[in-house]
Amino acid sequence: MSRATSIVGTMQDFPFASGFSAPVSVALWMTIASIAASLLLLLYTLELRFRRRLRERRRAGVVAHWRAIIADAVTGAAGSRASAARKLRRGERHEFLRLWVYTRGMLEGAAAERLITLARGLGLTEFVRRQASDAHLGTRLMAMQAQGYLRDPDSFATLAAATDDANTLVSITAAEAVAAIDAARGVALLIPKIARRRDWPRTHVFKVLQRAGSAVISEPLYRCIRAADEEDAAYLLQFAEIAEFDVRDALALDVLRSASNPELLAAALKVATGHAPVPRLAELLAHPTWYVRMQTAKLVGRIGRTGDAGLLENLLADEEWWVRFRAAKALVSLPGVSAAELEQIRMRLHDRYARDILDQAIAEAGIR
Amino acid sequence: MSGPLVQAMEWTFLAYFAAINLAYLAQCLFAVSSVRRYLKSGASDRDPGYSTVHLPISLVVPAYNESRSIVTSIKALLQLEYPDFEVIVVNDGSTDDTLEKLIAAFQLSPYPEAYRKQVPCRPVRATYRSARYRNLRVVSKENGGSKADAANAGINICRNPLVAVVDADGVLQRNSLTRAVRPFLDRPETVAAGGAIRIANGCKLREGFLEHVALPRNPLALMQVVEYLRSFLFGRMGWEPLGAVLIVSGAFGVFRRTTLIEVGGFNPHAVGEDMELIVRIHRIMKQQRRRYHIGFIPDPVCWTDAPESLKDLASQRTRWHHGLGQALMLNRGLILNPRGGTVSWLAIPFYVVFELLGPLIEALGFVFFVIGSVVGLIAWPEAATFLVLALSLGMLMSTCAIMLEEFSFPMYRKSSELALLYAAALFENFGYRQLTVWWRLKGFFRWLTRRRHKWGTITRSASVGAG
Repeated sequence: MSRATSIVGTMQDFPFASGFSAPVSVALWMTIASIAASLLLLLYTLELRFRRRLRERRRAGVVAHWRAIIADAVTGAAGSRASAARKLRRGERHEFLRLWVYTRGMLEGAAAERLITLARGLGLTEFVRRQASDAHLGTRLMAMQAQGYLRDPDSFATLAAATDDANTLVSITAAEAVAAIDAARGVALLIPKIARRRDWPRTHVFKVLQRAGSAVISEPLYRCIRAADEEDAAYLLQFAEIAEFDVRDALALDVLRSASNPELLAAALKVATGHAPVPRLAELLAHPTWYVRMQTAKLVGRIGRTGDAGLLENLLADEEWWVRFRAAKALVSLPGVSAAELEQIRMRLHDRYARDILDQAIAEAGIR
Repeated sequence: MSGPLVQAMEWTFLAYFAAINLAYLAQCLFAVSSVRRYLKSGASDRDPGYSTVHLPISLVVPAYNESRSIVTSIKALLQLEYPDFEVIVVNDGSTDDTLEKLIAAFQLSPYPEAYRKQVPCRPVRATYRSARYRNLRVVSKENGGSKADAANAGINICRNPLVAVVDADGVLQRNSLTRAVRPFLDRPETVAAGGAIRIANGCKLREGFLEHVALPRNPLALMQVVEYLRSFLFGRMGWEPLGAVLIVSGAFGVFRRTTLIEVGGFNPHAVGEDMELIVRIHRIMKQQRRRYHIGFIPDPVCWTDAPESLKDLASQRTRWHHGLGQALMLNRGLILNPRGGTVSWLAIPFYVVFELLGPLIEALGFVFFVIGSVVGLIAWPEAATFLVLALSLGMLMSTCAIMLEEFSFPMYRKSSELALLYAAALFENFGYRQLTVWWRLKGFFRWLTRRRHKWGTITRSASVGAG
């Protein structure tokens, strides 16, 4: 058979395939190819395993060496190895950075300062600046975190730009870092972005703002909320919970005086401290939206005037369970309302659900 | 020498074999590239960057007659390393003392939970909250006959934007939640995400957590280890970069709650509720021309107990195949839909031709070659060549999976375990694979005849559930 005929013909030239039909010859060749491929994959798997073991052994050595130095820096051990730390080798930098970030994340105060000194002495600042623009997301995130932990002012501008990154992780990590480097500048930069970045987890935004402190965030937050439209203001108001009390009340009362949007009202009711007189209280207690009534009931509880017991009593028969529940909780927590008075209120209730919810709140408060 | 009809049949089976295995190899290549990208993204456990951002998650744990292991499982869930999560156990009208055990172990008391019924489920009898754990609630409901119904009750009651539905007998890694939220953080359009499920048989557990990973001694479970590697590491990872993941395992899957509500939750009448839900999400999102993503991560996030008896395994595989047929049929609007992209034009046809009809064609091929050689239509060396081909291709796929395991997150560190995996990859071709074909075929016919399934139960191995 000529070489030029066909693949099948060529296959049939193979000694042990001769005599087989064309499909069988193809099957035979496929079998040989798959067995060969399996063997190659087996060898590759063994090589992967060998290389992984070598890598892990090397990494263990690096970690053991630098962990001791980091531990000394943390404890500030006299004559510590930290002061005598050898130069960070090229191959060790990533592993050291990982260890350092992990440890630094758990510390504040003098121990953190000593860690920063150690890292700066080892040239980590320059290294993480380069790493912060790395193509690998994990490396980039860790480097940005380290920049924040190192409080490197020269990184502020690049990190500020990264707060606009489309990737949630990158932008929120950068946000945390800028706030760590310079709380006032960072917060002034971040607060106007919060309403736009709904992808930023709220708990994380809270954490960043909380770390910056109420004194730092109050003023920019106030300005931003005042300038925002209703939807953004409702979203931003939740963060006002960590602002200073007078700012919270100024923002909340402003909304409560005139707003009609239930989301905005509920957000304002949530941040009002109860120290200042609340406008439209009776109107809000009868608001058609249940969560406005619920937040008002909670606020009445926070205000804590014994004379408001009657307002809460009316809400015990509300059609919405949460309103009844919050009203009952607020009622039992009012100062000066005794067990006997609660019992009297209970006796006056004709609605079974109202009695049940009051019973539950009394039981939970352990008044009986 | 074979006649033309026999040759035509041989060509047909050969072409099918070549096509299915080329498709698997292509998946393997895609999987290698996605795993490589995933590892390079630094999303491995050791990088602290990922661990700083958390999205609140509600863990929904449907439970039906899980009295033996429920307390240990829930205690383990409550110890997961994640700062913001709640656990909602849904007791689906268990006939044993599952609820009583929960009440006693977690000091539960009735609590009149106000919730909106946003996805259908059987009536809730009572809700409980724990005096010991602020983030634990238990829902007791009428039996709905399916895990889907119980999961829906949990979806109604949970409070967080992400919902993870977890099997009551599943063993999660301590950092499973941190891993599972990554797709949602990386791509905000992510609506669902799953991770690799591994087999817990043979592993040592302590207080509901994995203490030591080892291969099972039971040969059936051992072969399932290789099967799971194939299924999760390239069966699903391979579809991820194409945006065509069709299954997020029912053992552990994370969903955006709003999406679950939008698509109507789990289908209580679906046999494979996990696959049906994902295919339905694809269908609805495609119909609405929405931008969305279904993620998959190669990290082992959940360990599950595999059946160790032929009876249990047969029941499970029959159910799975029935579920596959049903999920594809219920969402048939996706098949070759002009708007459907890779899902409609690649993944669904693949699942129909190679997964749903696969056992039928494989069984026909087996019967053709065996009977053909017995009656003299095909010379026995020819029949043997085809059978050896089937064996070697099966071995190749398993070898690919083992390589991917080594490449991504190797859990079996001993050389002897690697050797055992290869042995299982070889020996599964002698009997086990044929049996699974038979069970899947039964599932196929069960789907055709529309028979119903209820909660699946399997006999647990000693390793899971105890201590």
